[in-house]
Amino acid sequence: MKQNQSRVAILLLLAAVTACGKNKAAGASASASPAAHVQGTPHTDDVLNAWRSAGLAPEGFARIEPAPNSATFCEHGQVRGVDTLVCEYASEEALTRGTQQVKEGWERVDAHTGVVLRAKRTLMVVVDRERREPSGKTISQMARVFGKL
Amino acid sequence: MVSLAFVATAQATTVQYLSQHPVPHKFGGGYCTIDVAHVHNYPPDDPRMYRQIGSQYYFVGDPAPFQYDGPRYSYYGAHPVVDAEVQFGHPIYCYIKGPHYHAYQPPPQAQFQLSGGAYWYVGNFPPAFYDERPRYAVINEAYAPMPYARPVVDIQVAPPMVRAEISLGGPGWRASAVLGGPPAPVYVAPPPPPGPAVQIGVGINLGGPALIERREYIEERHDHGWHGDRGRHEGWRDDRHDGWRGDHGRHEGWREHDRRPPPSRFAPAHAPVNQPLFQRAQPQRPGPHFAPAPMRGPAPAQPGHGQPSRGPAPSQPGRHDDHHH
Repeated sequence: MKQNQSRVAILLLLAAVTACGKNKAAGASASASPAAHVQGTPHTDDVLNAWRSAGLAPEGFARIEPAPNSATFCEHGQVRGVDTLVCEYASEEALTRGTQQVKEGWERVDAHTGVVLRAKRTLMVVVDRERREPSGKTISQMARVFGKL
Repeated sequence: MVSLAFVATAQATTVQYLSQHPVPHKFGGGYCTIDVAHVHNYPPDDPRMYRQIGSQYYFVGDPAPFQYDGPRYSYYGAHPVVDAEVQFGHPIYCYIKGPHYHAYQPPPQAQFQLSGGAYWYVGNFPPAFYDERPRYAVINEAYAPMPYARPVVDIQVAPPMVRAEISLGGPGWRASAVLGGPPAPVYVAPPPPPGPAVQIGVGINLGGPALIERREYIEERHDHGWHGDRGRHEGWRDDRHDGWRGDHGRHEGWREHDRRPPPSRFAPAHAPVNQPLFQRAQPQRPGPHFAPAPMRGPAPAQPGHGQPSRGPAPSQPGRHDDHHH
């Protein structure tokens, strides 16, 4: 039950920037095809590799379908049990809009901890709803690595 | 599904934090080390330790009492907040009196001087500092009941411009020792927990078992006649050895001058340095008395005094004059 609540919560938040949930299966199949990454900003692969190099362990990341007029490419998964979304945006306007939507989404998600951070036109969204790490050490490390991209 | 969504959206509280901060006890306690803007579903435990910047909270306090195990830097007295990780729209100030820690180190260009094991702010305080002091100095009351080890700071090697304000004949800021009387333990603050912490501090060795430490420092900041309460001598004092209290008087300060056992927050330990912190004063008459100790010059890198640090703040000779104008 709690896992379901958590899942719904994260989906509510992710829905702010993606059309996830209903399209995730389609997204998974889409990930097999050449994806339209955004040039000039860190790709999701770059982010995940950087986290791996830092000793973090991204798990279960899969492409999800971004919402219309929002991100261009997104992947969702977990890092040490913390729900994480990484998205690439084609324009500053889209990124600003996506960031704002995520921040507004905090109000709908009773998350213990939430972080939204940008590196160029790539956005990192982290939600820890189950208090997996109250000290925030994993999130802090993720943010530090992400900020250097 | 709808009901699950309702559960997820109910009771949502979002509080924005700018950087690291303590976690309230009812949410598990400890310390959140996220040093970028983030949100939690709980408000600050004690607003006196925070500064609200727009809709975001910034923790201005000492992280030491909150199971903080990251790098820490010693400071003495009030100073501007120079957290490189955070950009404020305007200067904000830490009003913690006496020795305390922060998780950030002053940047080289900031007007701090590393002396006696702590960073001292040696620049000028603008009027805003004094204007906001009555409101934000309450942070000292928040820390008063907390038993924790503050950094050990050799106040006799205060920066010259701070020493220039010391007045031995009147309200000011003093340090002295007395020879004689019953034996008393030499006690120093216990070291910080192991890990990547950067400890800046000095030990105390009073040089003999019969030396009673008397430490008294009353900070006086002249306010150059701006307005308000300037010219008062604010500080904090502890006459009882069992906690902190602010008396809000005109000559507040921190005192430690009875002979009862040290409070529990001090752990008896061997002093890591050999130089005496306080000079022995020759008694003028039988029995204990107090004598002012001669001032020593600043020694940011005194052998035996300086503990490992990430480098002393650069000395800036021009600042002395600046402070008095």
